[in-house]
Amino acid sequence: MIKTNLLFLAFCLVNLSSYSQEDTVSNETKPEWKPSYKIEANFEANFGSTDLNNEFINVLLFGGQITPELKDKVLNRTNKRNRFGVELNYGARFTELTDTLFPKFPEYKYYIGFGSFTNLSSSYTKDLYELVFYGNKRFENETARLGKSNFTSYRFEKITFGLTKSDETRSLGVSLIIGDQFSGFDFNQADLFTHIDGTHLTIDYDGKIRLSDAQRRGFMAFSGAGIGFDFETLFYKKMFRAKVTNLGVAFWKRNATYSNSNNQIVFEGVEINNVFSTSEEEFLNNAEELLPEMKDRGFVTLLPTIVEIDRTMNPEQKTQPIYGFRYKFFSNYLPQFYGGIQHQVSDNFLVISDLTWGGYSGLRLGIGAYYQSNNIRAGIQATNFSGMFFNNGNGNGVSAFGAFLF
Amino acid sequence: MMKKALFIFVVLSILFSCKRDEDTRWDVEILSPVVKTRLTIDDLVGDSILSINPDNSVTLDYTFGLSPIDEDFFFEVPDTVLKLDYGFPFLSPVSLAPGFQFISDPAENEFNLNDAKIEYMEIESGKIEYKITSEIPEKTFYTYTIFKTNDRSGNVFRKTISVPAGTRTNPSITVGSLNLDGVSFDLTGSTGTKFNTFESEVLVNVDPAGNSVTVSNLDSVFIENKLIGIKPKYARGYLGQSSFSEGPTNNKFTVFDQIKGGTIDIDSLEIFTEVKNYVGAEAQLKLNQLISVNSQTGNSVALSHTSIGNWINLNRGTDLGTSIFPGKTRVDYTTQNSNIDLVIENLSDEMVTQVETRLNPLGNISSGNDFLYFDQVVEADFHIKLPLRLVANNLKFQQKIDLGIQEETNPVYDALISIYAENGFPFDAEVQLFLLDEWGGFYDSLVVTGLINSANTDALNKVTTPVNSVVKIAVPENKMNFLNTKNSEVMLQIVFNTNSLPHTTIYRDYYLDLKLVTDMNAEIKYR
Repeated sequence: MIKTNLLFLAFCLVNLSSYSQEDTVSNETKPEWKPSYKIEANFEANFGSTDLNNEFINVLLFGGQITPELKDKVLNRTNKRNRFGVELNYGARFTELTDTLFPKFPEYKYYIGFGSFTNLSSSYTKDLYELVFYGNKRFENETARLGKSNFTSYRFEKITFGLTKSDETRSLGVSLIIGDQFSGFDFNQADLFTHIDGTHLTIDYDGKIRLSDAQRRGFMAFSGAGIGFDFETLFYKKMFRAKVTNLGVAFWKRNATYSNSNNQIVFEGVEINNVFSTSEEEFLNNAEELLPEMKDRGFVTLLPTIVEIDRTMNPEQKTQPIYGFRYKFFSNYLPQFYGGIQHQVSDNFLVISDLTWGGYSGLRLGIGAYYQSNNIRAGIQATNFSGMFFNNGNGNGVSAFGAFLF
Repeated sequence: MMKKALFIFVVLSILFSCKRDEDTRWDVEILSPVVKTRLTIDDLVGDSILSINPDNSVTLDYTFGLSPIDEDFFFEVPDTVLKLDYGFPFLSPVSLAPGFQFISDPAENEFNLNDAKIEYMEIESGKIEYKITSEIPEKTFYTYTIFKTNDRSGNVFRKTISVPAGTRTNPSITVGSLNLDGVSFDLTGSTGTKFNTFESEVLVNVDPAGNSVTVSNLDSVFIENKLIGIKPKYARGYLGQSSFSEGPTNNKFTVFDQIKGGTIDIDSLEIFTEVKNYVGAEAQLKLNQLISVNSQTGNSVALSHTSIGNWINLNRGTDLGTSIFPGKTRVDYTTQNSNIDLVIENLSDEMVTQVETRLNPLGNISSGNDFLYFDQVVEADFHIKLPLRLVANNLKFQQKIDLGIQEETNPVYDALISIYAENGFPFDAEVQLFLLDEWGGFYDSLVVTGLINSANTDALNKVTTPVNSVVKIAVPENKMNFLNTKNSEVMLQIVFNTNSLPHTTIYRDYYLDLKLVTDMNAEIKYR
């Protein structure tokens, strides 16, 4: 953890550029030089939780022992409903800045992009937290309320073709979605009653499970396929930028399985015919019959669409406020708001600092730095700077951006 | 350049720092049922056949086959060699026209069947292997016929073989085999009055489409036929006298397979040996010994009965055309005429037998009207009809159970296992669980508290209501470690004792419901 934090800090301090919440200084290019092409790359990783602290999340993600003390500490912060999520997105884009494919719209240039999106998220009750990390014994003669809980793991790549206006005030892209993996568990209701002495477990269950091909989960696996749209525009006197990423659907047909059941199960143990002549195979087969029946059936998922609205930068002002909003659909995401300030340190450097609330975490401090020259733009931001140093922080994040014009 | 290098270094460092060095793990306390099962008398008594009496009581009806009698004992057809050396009788060279038949050799051949006199035989499998050596300088055709035979199509067995041209210095040699599967033989010879005899003929022709050939007394044809591996399916005639001895043979006796100790006292039983003779000839069978061996205790009990060591006469079977009605002989063993109760109460897992058999001990008293289907000869079965009405004293049932756990995969540190029992049997059951060492021997026991109590019974000792009990088994961390690292097999032992009234009757609907609940401390981990 310390290692990670120090690296984050070093990265932020030594980095040569400043970068606001999003790429908002693109109109800073000196007018006398006209580049023909632009190559951009971006990377974004963050994880957070409304109740799990960083110490807990780090162990959860990177290994180690979750001690009873740590579990208790988190339990004290756990609410009736809680969230946890991890995002890992990266991409690259090539833009032709001088030519156009549509002579009737000479101001529109085209771009080709690639992106990879990984999202693991969950929404869960306090009882589910206790059940998972303490076991069910503490619920003896009690009901653990595990619904409404949700767990989603979604990973896909996309290949995009789009058009962007020369002045970068508007762009539209359409993408082929290549689904790698989807696992979705939605429990409207899941009540677990542990009878005295554990002689029975009664489960009232109403839930949906959707799983993509278990054998095909790697990079560009094509377990599923779909279509997505990206859209970006400036509005209201170009003071604000609205951006929609991954608006679309994916179809998961190849060896996908699906279950949607609503029943009560009284579990009294896995039934075996004859204890004197049983086998591990019989036990496992009979145990499997207790699980919800998974049907070989495809399903459709809406992409985890990201909507962002940010205030754009005024190049005339050295110091100015920044604020914005971000939401990610179908991802157990809380609406995220941020507000802060940016300062132009020199012609090439910009630094920012902001406070953010929402997404997968509570209130946190972010800092960033941005660099710009004739043909290079780059930026790095620690989106949860406070989380790096406090074990009681509840998340961590970094985003980085780089562009090369030539 | 410096900036780029620094950027790459930092990004790689971040990615590297995210690599997992160890599992994520935490401890949980789980209280849950794991397994439930219902034991009935069918589960307790091996692969025996249980029969239900009108009052729903159970009789153990077990049949144990004595050593099988080898069908070759009745008679065996030896391999038979038939040779023909043919030399031309011409002192000076003679020209043979195309198609000319220069050998016609009928012969009667006899199977050596000792004193058996078989008139008719059907072949299950067998073949004729031939070797033809020809010095004739032209292709010839060799035709072999066995008269008074029928193949599967109802035709006389006849085969023609093409033999290439040869010379005196370089004769042609042709080898091959002719299949006799399914061929039936009339073995009465050409006159119809002989035994074990078949009539055959060899014809050899010059190729009708070939050229004339010149031969002299210096040219020869050698023909060798062998009847190989003749396995009869059916035979009729006089089967002859023969005798057969088998054993001592250790036969697995599975009726008490899972009983590893204790004693039972049997109220009554019906035990007999039944011999069925499907052979159309008189026979005799002698059981020289039948010893019940309990390999657990080392005890052996030899059956003592007047039949032991004495010939039992077996009447001949009757061929009904579509089936055979066997000659049956039954020898009953009772507590009055034998020590059969001791043989059974020894709870043996092996029966040692030694058997002798004789065929036609009085000779050919059927005037050659014996018959034999080789797939059904003599069956000798030992029958036990044991009404399950007994007194059990510390009757131990054991079963080795492999928990299939390993240190890497078993998440449990320690556990308290509770067995919830609903006992519908009229006997107490004491549960014991033993750890086994790497060689399968007993290493240690797990502490078990409680007893599965007998069901409530009426004055006739018949179950009125089942009784619930709880047995608890503690598996502390050190013993769980042993299971993880040494041997994950455990020996489950259940010791039964009937209640004090004598000779408890077991009914088919008696049961013992067991539910295993664990209260365990376990580690959850993933990487």
